[in-house]
Amino acid sequence: MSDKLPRDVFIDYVYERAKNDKRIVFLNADLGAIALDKFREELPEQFIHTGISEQTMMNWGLGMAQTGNIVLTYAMDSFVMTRAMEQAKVAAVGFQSLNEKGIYPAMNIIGIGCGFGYGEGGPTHYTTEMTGWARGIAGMEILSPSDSKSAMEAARISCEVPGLRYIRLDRQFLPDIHGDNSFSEKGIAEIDSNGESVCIFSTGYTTHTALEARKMLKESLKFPSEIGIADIFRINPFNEEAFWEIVGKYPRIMTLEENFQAGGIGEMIAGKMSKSKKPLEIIAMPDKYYFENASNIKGGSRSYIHKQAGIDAESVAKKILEFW
Amino acid sequence: MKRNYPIIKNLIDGSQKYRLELFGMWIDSRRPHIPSTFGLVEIVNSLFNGEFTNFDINDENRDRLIISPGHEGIVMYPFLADKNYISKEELKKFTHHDGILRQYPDPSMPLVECPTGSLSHGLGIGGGMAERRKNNVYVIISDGEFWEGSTQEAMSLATRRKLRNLICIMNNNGTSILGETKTAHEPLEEKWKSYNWFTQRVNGHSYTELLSAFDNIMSRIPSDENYHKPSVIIADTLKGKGIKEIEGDPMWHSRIPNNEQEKKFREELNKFNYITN
Repeated sequence: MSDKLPRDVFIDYVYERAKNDKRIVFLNADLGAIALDKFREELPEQFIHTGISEQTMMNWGLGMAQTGNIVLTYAMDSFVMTRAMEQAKVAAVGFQSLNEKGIYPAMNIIGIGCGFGYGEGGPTHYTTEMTGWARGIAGMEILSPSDSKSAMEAARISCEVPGLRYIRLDRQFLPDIHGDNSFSEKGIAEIDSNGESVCIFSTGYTTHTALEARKMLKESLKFPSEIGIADIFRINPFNEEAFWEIVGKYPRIMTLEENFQAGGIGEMIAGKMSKSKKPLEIIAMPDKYYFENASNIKGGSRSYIHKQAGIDAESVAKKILEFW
Repeated sequence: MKRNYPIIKNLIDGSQKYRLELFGMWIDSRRPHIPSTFGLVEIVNSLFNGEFTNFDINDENRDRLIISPGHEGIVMYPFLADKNYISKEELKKFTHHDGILRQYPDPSMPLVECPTGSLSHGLGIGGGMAERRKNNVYVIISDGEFWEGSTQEAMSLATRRKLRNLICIMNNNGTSILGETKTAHEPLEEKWKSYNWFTQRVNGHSYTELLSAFDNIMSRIPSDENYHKPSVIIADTLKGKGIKEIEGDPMWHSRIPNNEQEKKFREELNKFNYITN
């Protein structure tokens, strides 16, 4: 098990690849990380500090991608794309028309500290809307790693596979949950797939919340049966075939996310299930911003806010019991 | 700078020819924005026919051209036809269902490098294209785009990146839809210079001034203080240049002429003379 943060696993992988592939360029809108220092120092030709200008970084990246570079743009998740939504759309329009001409550029938009990753930062630094915003751009691939293994896989895809891609990385340590790499090929993977009652579809950090809720119920003996948990690694394009394969095994479906309901994975799955008779319960962020300081409380501000918002493990366990 | 006579003669002939072709597209399609492009004819003609650029579509190392204000990108279409990148028939089918030319250019069309319908993306995308390449990237921006903050972001970053192969031509016609822009944007030369760009200001309808400015950019040597800088040519132009009634009138940004006006305007363009205009 890696003890590195998903962010650092990602950066280290890209650095190793960049040493041998001069096409890889790292554009950074003024966000530091110790893991990035050696990239900047040893590969200065492949590292561009764009200044605090996310809009221009997005435009710049499109221009570089079109001229044969494998581009990664990097900033806090709260700004990397939110600040440059129209530029991201222009990039998507450009990518589609280039693809239609048989040209396949590569540009990866890397958001650091997704969700409540910057726990003490307050609402300007939280990104509880980004699943919906990014899903609104046609052709924008969305990857949401939930551990080091999936973060490294996202890094590999960035360096190898063309496309316009948004990758949301946690800056908090997340223990490994994926046994093999089937999550990458399928886009969704069940974590210990022996459930039979409720399946919770989640992504990123909250997949760990779902795992904790499952453990709580199991240990308290309050729940009679095994709960399934499916981690969505690739939110877009969503693998419906893999999704229905999992749904087919369970009578009830839940979703859990650190995102507003609007446009989140809950609504996405509700859309897919509109013709299904299976009951569906969406657990998402209430439609409000949180201003909470709690770094001195166990688990820090992120856990504290999750509790306030009803997306912590205890609340999720309670909702499973109600739903079942 | 010394230019041989046939080039200048060809350019001068183009001033009328391309205006008439653009006018034909305007009348056939009855779509707005075409008068805005008249102000750009000398700039774009210089780029395509001034014999200092390489826009060979089959050459990966070609120079790149971005016309950032998409509504002015229409000006490219007659030039694309001239270079046989599209057929002349396409000009007649502008915005038609069975045509490939749209109101705002996008990369589905030959030689169009990026989508430009929304304003102020071109300089940033062009900056990225100029990275790690020796060939020139020409980006035409409008003075209207100077309102957008992303223009200034790209100006700063291009300076920091020492993109000497990034060449911006600012089509400064002094107006946007609701009126003049100079009270917001002037003094333009001082602004560009303060961003450390190699700055020149010319009459955007004068081939000798335009070609001379491009030559000053091309002929820089490493010991020049401007050698490592991105370049801008602030080209003062007249929106609608060539038809007196619409020249400088922002309301013609989106108007379509009636039959009487059409006849009158066409007669005027048929008499268009580069020297006396």
